[in-house]
Amino acid sequence: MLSGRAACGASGARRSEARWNALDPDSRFPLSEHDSAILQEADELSNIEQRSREMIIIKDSLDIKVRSTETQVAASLQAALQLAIALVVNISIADDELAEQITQDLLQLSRIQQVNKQSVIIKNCRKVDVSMTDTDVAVSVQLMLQLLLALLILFEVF
Amino acid sequence: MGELRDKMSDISKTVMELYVRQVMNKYSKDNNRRIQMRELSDKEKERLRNLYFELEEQVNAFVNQVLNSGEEEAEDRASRTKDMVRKRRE
Repeated sequence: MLSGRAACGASGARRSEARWNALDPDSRFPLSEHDSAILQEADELSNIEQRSREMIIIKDSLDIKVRSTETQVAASLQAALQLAIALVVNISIADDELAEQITQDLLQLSRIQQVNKQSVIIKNCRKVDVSMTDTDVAVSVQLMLQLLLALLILFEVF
Repeated sequence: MGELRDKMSDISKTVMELYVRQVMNKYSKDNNRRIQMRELSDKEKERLRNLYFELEEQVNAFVNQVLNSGEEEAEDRASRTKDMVRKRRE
């Protein structure tokens, strides 16, 4: 989810003799009736693409705030849950090779959830707040926790 | 919404249990025998339970953080939309 007030030199603006420069405080935004930049919704102007890895590209811009604190926490949680699932299966099943196969099969579920990544490109913008809220990851870690619980119930730990 | 969320959570847990059983059954059929299990001691079971509770706490904290930040963003966008509409009317 991308949000924030922004002023960007987007394709929707009229061309003027001097192109608006976000880094120049004296540069006048083409559609502005005042010296200050017009406030617009950032999600109408930024380009969002689906790629294999999450990425934020900021170019020729000023006063850009990026908040992505959930990413590191999510990665740690996913790793911890995968490890816990592997641990439970390996100590509960006598056949090590079979335990490994079962673990891989069970963790396929978490791998499918990790495919969805986004890239955000902010170009020639001023005063943009980027907040990456990854609800897909939240769903993924919840599913993995439930998977762990199901295993513990099956193995009569609970 | 809280009740709906709880119900969906229960359904999800049931589905997950079925999924785990399906995987276990698949491998026991492939081997044409029951999967040989290790007997876990009471101490090992207690450690696994504690591990689960710790992970559950971390996951719930993370999910609540994501939900709260999503609600804050939605409220922020709503207030800015109101400001924009008011300015255009003026």
